[in-house]
Amino acid sequence: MLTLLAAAPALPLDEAGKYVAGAYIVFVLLLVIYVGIMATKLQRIEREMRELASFAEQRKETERRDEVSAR
Amino acid sequence: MYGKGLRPLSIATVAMLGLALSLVAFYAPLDADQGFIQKIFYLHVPLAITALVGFVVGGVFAIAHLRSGDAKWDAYSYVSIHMSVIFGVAVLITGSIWAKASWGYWWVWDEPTLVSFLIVFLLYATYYPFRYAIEDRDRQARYASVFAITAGAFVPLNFMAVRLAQSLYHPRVFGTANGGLPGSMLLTFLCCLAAMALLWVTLVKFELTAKSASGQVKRLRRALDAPTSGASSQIAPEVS
Repeated sequence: MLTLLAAAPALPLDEAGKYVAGAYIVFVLLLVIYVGIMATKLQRIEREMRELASFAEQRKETERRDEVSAR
Repeated sequence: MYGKGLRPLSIATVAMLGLALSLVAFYAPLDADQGFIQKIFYLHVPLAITALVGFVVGGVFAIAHLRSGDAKWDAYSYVSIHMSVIFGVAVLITGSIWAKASWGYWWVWDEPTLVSFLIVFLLYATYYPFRYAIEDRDRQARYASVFAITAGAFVPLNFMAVRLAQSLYHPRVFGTANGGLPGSMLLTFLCCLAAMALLWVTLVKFELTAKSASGQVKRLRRALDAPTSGASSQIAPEVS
């Protein structure tokens, strides 16, 4: 089998094209999936930042009200 | 500041990838022996070299972590290995596509190059369960660093062993027996290799920047005494 594999002839262009295209599509697909995962992570970070910002604003507002009522 | 210089790096990566793919499509001649199928090598081989070097780089960062005790190096090591595993998936898939087209088989078990790469890939696939089986952050980082160094040292040894194995049918890109690659093919190959290396560095920087931002949010949450969000990830090393 080793000799057979070593002597395998080149595929004609029309047949080889789908394999070459397949390999490059796999690469692009993996990149797109990775970018998609990164986008999800960024969305989560953005949501957490928004939560924290509103939490900080609420706390500031409560402190201001407490200050006013103490006077 | 992991995001520093990310924009020019991203632009350089996109430009280099564009140039490399244009050279593959329009400049590199068809291989006399393999024909059009050989175009897969401009993708497969640079991916493999980058993944293997990335594993070794992960080991080097792990040494820096053990020497200094700085968690930053552990994060670098983790992200390097993580990115190389992703590149490894691409290597295995593109290699299998080439094997099917060239040999008629998706996989050949008695070919040392294929099996050795699979062993390296599976070894690094165990890095994740190994790492996250340990709860204590410091211990987790130390043990993961020891793993990264041991596995990183295994990569070049494995590579040399395979080169000495004198495989019969996995082609050698830098083989000297038949004169190696002609100039135009070598230029295309080197551009592809540079593009893949740049892509690896850019994605590592992206991942570190995302982890750093996530770490800063956690720090802010702790400082504000805010309730913890259920969505935050606990598995990756924290970067401050």
